[in-house]
Amino acid sequence: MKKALIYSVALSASLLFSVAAHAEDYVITIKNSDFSPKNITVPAGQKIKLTVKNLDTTPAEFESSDLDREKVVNAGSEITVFVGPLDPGNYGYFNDFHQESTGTITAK
Amino acid sequence: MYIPKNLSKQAAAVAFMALVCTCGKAAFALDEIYSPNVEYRELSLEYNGSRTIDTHSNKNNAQEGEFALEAGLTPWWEVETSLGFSKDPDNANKLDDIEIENRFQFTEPGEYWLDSGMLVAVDFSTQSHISDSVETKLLLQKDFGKFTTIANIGFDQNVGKNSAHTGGPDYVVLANTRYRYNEYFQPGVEIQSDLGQGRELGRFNDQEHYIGPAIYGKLFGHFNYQAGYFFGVSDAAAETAARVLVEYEMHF
Repeated sequence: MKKALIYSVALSASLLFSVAAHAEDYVITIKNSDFSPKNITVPAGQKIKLTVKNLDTTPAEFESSDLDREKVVNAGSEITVFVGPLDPGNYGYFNDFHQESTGTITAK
Repeated sequence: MYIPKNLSKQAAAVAFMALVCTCGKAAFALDEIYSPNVEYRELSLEYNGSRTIDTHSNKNNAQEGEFALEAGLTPWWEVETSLGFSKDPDNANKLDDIEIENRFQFTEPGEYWLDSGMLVAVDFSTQSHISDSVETKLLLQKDFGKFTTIANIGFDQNVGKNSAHTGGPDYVVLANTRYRYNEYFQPGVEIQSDLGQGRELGRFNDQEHYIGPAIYGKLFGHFNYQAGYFFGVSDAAAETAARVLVEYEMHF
């Protein structure tokens, strides 16, 4: 038991010292349940940091099966979503609470 | 035949110990493989079940099942409570335990080279002769383009009443890689290894190792599914086994 605990703690600790790669910042806002901007062009092959700000008084969810991301944004708050490095192409996302609200990230 | 008194006592003690060890340890289990990423403000009802298929009756139709309710309470903490059922090849299904499971997300998805988290669960046994247990797993995930690989590495330790002679931790390694073709259909490969405890560690054929194809995805908006068919690749494993998971999710 003791050995197993030490093993788990050591593994966890090693992960905490992992180095984060630099990520370029992009901001998406949600107002009236809709995204702005709807289309973002980002460089391919680089990690991207998206800040999603919800300006509404109701929660939203940034979701993308293309990017394998799903995250609730509480009313009046913001979240950070890291994606990539992406291959060139289009990656769709939507607001899962209002699925008619969609957007696209284009990696070039 | 003359049997020394001490020897018969020793044999009885060894037999008793073997029985206790067997009772304290699940004979068969294919587990869900957990992402370290918590789904905040999501509530879900889940059924997860598995069974063996083997030409030998002593390994055929062992089953495990779980009905669970889980909720992402914070962006980094998800809690689940479940009822666990199991069935040995020759017996009927029985309620084994009530489990409280916590999953903690350590890092933002994609922020570091590897996403990481931890699972800590306590199983309260409903069987008077079986001990409670504590389960701990390190949860790891890595995305490579459209491929996602998840690994769960951990152990199960019997605790409390009846746990004194059930041996040390029982180690498990579970992993899958899936291709995210679309949200409805994601084919992959899954490995489920119960490395055993104590002297079983290091003896491949005494451990249960399964490998096989699996599919994952969403259905009708609110349902998630997982299904896998596995081939036992060690002597202790059944010839084949199957696992299925159905989950209904909603937001709160």
